[in-house]
Amino acid sequence: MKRFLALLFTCILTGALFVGCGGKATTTDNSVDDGKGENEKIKIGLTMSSRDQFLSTLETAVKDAAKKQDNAEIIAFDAENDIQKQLSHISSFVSQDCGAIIVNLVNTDTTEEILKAAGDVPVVFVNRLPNQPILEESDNSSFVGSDEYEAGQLQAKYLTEYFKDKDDKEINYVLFMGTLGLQHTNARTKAVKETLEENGFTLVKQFEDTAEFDRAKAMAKMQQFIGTGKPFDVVIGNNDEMALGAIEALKSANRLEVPVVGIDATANALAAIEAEEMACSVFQDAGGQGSGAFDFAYKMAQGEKVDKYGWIPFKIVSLDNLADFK
Amino acid sequence: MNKSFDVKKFASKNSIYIVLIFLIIVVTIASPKFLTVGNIINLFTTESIKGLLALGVAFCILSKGIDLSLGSIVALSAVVSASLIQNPTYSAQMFKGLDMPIGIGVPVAIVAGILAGTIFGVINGALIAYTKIPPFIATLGSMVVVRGLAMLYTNAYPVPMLKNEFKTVGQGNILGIPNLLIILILFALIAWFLLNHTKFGKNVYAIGGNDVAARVAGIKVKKNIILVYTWSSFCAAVAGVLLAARTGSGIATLGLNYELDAIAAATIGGVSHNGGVGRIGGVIAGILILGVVNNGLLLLGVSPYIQQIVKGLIIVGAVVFDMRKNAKAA
Repeated sequence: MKRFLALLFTCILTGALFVGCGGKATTTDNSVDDGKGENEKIKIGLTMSSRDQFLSTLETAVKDAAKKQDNAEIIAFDAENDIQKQLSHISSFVSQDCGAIIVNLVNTDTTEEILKAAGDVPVVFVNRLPNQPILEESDNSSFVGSDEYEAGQLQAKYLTEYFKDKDDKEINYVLFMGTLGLQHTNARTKAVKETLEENGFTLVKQFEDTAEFDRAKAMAKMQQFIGTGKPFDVVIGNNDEMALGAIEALKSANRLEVPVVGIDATANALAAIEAEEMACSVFQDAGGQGSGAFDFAYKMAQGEKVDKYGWIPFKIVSLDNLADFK
Repeated sequence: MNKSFDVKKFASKNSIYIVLIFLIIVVTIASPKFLTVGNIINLFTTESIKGLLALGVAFCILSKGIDLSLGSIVALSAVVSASLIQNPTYSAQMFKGLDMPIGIGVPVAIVAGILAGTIFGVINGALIAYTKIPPFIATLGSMVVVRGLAMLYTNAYPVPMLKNEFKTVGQGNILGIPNLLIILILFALIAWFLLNHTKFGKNVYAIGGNDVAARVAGIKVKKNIILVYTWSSFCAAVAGVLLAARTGSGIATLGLNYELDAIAAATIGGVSHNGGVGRIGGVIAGILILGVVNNGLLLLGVSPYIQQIVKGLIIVGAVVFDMRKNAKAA
């Protein structure tokens, strides 16, 4: 009986493995957008680092932008966070005579290898900023994306407006950093602090710690911060999940009057702004990045010159303009 | 504590409590806020989720195994329970229009979450017992599979906007004592009872000490191994449901690396990775040591970079101290 049970479990697990593999195979299916006409198509290769909500929106925007041109065709691949796969995508684009390649880098350190593999085919990096010296050295590549520093700046701008009537110009702050050592953690943290100081505020650090972009971790730490009884006027999160975690903790302590600001403008954050629990978030324009990258690639494929950088601005989202983002 | 139970062994374990008391004294001197009722309750609430995992994984380590899949089980249980108890007013509800009455919905969400997680403990145990795969490998595999299932189930989207009545389970309190803490104490008592007052507990020690001898002595090793991993995944599944309730949202990335903190707590608490040695009191002390360190560094506003270094040193330091003490005692 026990042997039978064990066999059964093993079978279930093996079955689950196969189902898992089957599922995986379908998601890795590389989608090829076939255009309408046959001749003189400008083929543009697109390789995405992975598929999450944000990157899928970006990918859709590239494809939608291509549909507006009747001679453009997008060949889209998903690298599933594998650098090797991404490199092989590039080679396959080159052998398929793509006019340009749009790359959402798996790893920003492989900039040089990507450009080498692309050879003479122009490359547009999107969303993730490649190694800048290498990018600037090459003559047929450019970057379309948003400046992480700007996200923090916008948080500071909103808070400046919020605190402008304050007499002593002194802000006691709690700041939740994202995963330590990541470029956007550093840029967002630095930007919000620097900009507030430039705007004439004195910052008093009550707590500045990491919650690794994680809601549960931010909530746990916030609860302990509140427990210390130290006064604070604002909670700044490097992303929305941490801001939402802090809000849960503030809610149970009845301290919701403290403004909490996040970044990403996720659906949850928008709902929290609507419920007047979160003060503001910052929207990164995935659609704008996608269509911007396509425009650059389309022009480059036809031999036109484009700028080295196409900056797509972040946008602040608060109760005032919430309707634009729903 | 049951004093008649091997006093000598208990004494040899005291080193860990000394470390704990020493830490508490240091932190109290450094931060007057530390030893306040509010802060202590906060500390317990924060550590209780990982504490549950530590109580579970301690059984695996005692049986000379390990369970790396616990963090993933937390995630799966969290998303399964969350998906069943979302507010129907939320536009991106996972099961459109699902609106069970509270009296049915809350228990269904809890039970479904716990079952979804616990089943993988049964599978882990069966794999280890019958195929003789090292527990490290078996649970490493299920760690990846279960995290994948949680991602697949939710399409990697968060499952937010849970009904308030469900959230109360993780956020509420009884007479000022948070539910999470009450559940942790309850589980500690169950774990202590299982280990010290049931045949199962004695079997776990025997298997960890020497599984061949245990089999010769007539212990049903396979059955007990399955029970051990079922218990650890059950603890993790309960933790997952509580975490969803506490944070008001089920996310497939919840509980990432929690198993490592739980293993650290059990190890600091003197549960030997050679199997057969360790006590629930020690595990609780291990959880508290990590909690006091986390909370203390937080209260002092120590740079998060330095926090990591200190935590690592304390994990290694506490174990070295404990091992030396044990070596002398033996």
